[in-house]
This record gives sequence, C-alpha cells and structure tokens, in this order.
Amino acid sequence: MDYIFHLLIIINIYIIAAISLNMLIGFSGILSLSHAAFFGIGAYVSALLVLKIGTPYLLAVATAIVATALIAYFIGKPTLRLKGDYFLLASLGFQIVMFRVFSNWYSLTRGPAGLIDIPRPSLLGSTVSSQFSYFVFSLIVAVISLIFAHFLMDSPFGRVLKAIREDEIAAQSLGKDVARFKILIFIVTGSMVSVSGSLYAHYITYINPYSFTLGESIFMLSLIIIGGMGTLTGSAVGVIFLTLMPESLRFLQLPSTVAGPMRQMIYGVLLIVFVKFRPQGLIGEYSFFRTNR
Amino acid sequence: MEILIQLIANGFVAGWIYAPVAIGFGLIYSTTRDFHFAHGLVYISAAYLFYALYVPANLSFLLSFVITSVAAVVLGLGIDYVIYRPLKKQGATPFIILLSSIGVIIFLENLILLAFGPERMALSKADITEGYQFGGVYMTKMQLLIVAFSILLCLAAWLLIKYTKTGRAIRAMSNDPEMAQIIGVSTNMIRAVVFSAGSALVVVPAVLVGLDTGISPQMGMTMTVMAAVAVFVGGVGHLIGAVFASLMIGMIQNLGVFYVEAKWQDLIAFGILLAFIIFRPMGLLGHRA
Repeated sequence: MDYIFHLLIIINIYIIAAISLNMLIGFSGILSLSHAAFFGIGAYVSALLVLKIGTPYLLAVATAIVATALIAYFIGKPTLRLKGDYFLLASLGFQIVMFRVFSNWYSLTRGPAGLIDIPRPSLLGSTVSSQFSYFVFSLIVAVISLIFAHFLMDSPFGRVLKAIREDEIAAQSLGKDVARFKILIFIVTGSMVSVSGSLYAHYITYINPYSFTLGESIFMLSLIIIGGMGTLTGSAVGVIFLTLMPESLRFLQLPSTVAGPMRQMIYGVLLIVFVKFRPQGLIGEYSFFRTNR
Repeated sequence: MEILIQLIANGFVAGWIYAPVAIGFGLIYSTTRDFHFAHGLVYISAAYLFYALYVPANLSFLLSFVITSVAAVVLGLGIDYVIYRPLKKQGATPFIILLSSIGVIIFLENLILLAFGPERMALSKADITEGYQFGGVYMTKMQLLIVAFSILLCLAAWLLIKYTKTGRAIRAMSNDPEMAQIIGVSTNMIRAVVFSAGSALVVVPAVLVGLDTGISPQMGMTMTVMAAVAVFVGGVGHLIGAVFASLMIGMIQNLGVFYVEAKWQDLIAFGILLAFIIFRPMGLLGHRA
C-alpha cells in the first residue's frame, strides 16, 4: 500500500511539473529545455534553507519560488527575444550550466554527493511524515496548481499566449506586448516547477545533481508530448501513463541493469511513435504540425 | 608558463576532435534547418561499432574502419529517411523533428548501454603512451594523428564545398532553400548528401577518440551539444566559423583549468555560448539576417 502511495506522490509531483511545462510549450509555444534546471533550483533552495538554517517549510518554499522567479527573469529577459532555435539552444545551455553549478558548487550543494536527511515539511505544528499524509499534501498542491493553471490559461492572459503560439507576429501587430507576455509566462512556469522541485526534495529527503539533468528536462518534455499539449488533462494523463507504464515492466523480472535502459528505450520509441502517429498526444489540442493533424 | 602552453596544445587537440563533428552538424542544420540532435549518437555509435569490430571480432583496422564508415552513413541516412522525411512530408515543424531526434537519441544511447555497459571503454593500443616533445609541449602520437586527420577532413570538406557543383548547391540551400529549389537545386538530393557527408565525417574522430581516451554512451549527447554550440557560435552556414569555434571551445575549456578549478570547465564553455547567443546571435562569422 505504501508503494502505491509512493507512485501517487510521484505522479502528483510530476503533474505540477508537466502542467507548468505545458503552459510554456503547449499553450505559449515557447520551446524550452531548461525545465529540470528550475525544478532543481526549487529543490536545492528549499532543501538548503530548511537543512542549513532551519527555515520553516512554507517560508523556504516561498523563498525558493522568489529565487526561481528572479533567475527566470534574468535568463528570460535577454533570451526570449530571440528566434525559436536560438532560444532553444540558450535554454539548453542554461540547463547544462545549472547542472554544472549543482555538481560543482561543492561548498553549497555538496556536489555529486548530494544533500541527505532533508526533513519532511512541518506545517501548522505537525510534520507531514507518513506516506499517506505526504500523498494528501502533494495532492492538495497538485490540485491547486491545476486550478491555477486552468484559470490562467482560460483567461485573457492565456488567450494571448495561445495567439503568440499560433502567430507571434500577428499577435504583436494586434498591439500585444509579446515580449512581456513571454517573460511573464516563463517566470510563472519556472516558479511552478520550483514548487514541484521542493515537494520532490522533501519527499525523497535526498537530492543530488543527477536528478536535474538535461535528460530530466527531456523526460518532462515527453510527459507532455505523450500526454498531450495544450490541454491540462493531457498533462495529467501523460504523467500517469509514463509513471505507471514502466511499473508493468516489473512483471518481467528483468535485472536492474537491463530494466533501466529498457525503460528508457521504450520512452524513446514512444516519443517517436507519438510524434509520428499522434503528435497531439493522448489528449491534446495542439500538435505543432503545419497541416492539421 | 609551460603549463599554459601545454594546456593550449591540449585544447588545440580537443578542438580538432570537435571540428569534423561540428562541420557535419553544421552542414545538416544550415541546409535543412533541422536540429539533427542524433548526430552525436551517430558519432558514438560509430565509435562503439569500430570497437566491436576491432576488438572482440578482431577484424583488421582497415576493414573495421571501412565497415564503420559505411554503417555510419547508413545510420545517418536511415534516420533521415525513416524518421525525418516522412514527418516533414506531413508538415512537421522543426520542433517535431527535434523531438523525433531526441527519441532516436534516447533509444540509441540506451541500446548502447544495454549492449556495452555504462563504463568507459578504451581500445588499448601500444603507441598511446608514445609521445613527442615540441619545445616544451608534450603530445602523444594519437593526439597528433587526431589533429592531422581532422585538419585533412576539414580541408577536404572546405574544398569540396567551395569548388564543386554540389558544394555550390549546398551553399545555395543554406542561404535560401526556396530560392535554391527554384533555380533547380534538388533539395532532396542535397539533403541526402549532407546527411551522408555529415555522418561520414564523424567516423574518424570517433575511432581516434576511442583509441585515445576511451568512449562511454553518454558522450553522444555531449558531442551533439558541443557541435551545436560550435556551429552557432561560429555562425550558421559558415563552416570555417564552426572549426574556429570548435578550437576556441577546446582551448577555453582546457585553459580554464589554469584559472579556475577543472570542474568549472564546461560551465565556462556554456557561459560563452549563452553570451554569444545573447549578444552576437549571428556567431563569429555570420551577418545580421
């Protein structure tokens, strides 16, 4: 039963990450490979604050959000004005830079050794220590994120973002300050996934840089590709599918050195298959194809 | 001071390892505007294939090399024909192509992992330790070979692009694909040419690196990123720029050791990339669009 809660907690954590990435790529058309970097910033800031100076959990998360928002602003401001391919490369560069910072700033992050004994969150007096309570906690945060995302994307703000996705120049010519919208959504989605990162760190109670690599960014990308871009249900479905699907491999009783790469290979094949035959994902609205597929 | 020169020399060698791979990536990107991320995987697959042929199967060096070259071209072309082209026919945007490329990377990298394990492997050769001294700088025989062959490859590529009809077609396509088609350039054929040439170019660095320092599955992705950085910093469509940028990156990475701890090397390289992208997106040799 504990294991089922574990799976559900992971699903909740990644739903937040997937929704935020979907808001950036699926709704706004901003292709970014740096999501895992912000995930990591949230995780490290939150964990370090609680570990090193005993900050109360909520304050630590709030600080993580602010820190991520600031970093997102400073990275986004000069790069979001660039054309798609160039921004993609810049986000790739930023992702790799952050990974290097996580692994090399030994005095702060303990490098590859990682941070251990990260405390479970303590809110309003009690600690969220059992699997069940963490499940409830993460579920609440996930639901709040879903509601937030829904209202944001359904609003005029969200509509402009979709317009930017479809035709940036047209949106600009209609008087919308495209640059401002892009930076705003970049900051918002970066902050959201930093919350996800904090949840992750305080759940697993151990983090190291290898959870925040380019590969992880790519994994988050496949969550929304397969789940579906442009719809929030799609993100949830994608996370559930990609979290539960590898579990079925357990029945094959493969040794772990085989199971790991095998699972990754399935991701790779799924990615190609979905891109080819169902580019809008399982439940998606937008498919990034020029013709209507 | 001697250390400095040695580091520059090491960086020089590192740069020449990146250069042919970067040219390959640059050729493909500048003509098709497709992010063939899987390029680095073609590189590392070639390295592993060569290893498998040369060591366990014990084929001769020449035979292993020839088979690997053919296989690399087949792999590169195969990825294009099986994955990219059908998608493009259906109207795929560059993002979709990138995604499919990433799918290929994930699949291939883990295939290699399954087959060979995650540890770094080296093909032992007796003459690795043999080296030469040039006025205070020490270089191994293998490093010299790497530089020599890479220079030859890059020179050959440059000559072909500058002086042959196909080369002109490539330049036309990278300048303006639609216009090139209008004047009669067969974009499909040029596509095949650049994918073949690009994939063939990686074989020599792959083999030499395997013989020199060893290979691991993760090197594929790293090499793709390095190649992409070199192409964009050098200027898309300017192959000399890509070579220049490769050398620059190699040297800065190695020189960085002198000024900051070794672990910050890659950070410096990417910091430079970010700086270029932000302040000079057209690259070293490019012009404002």
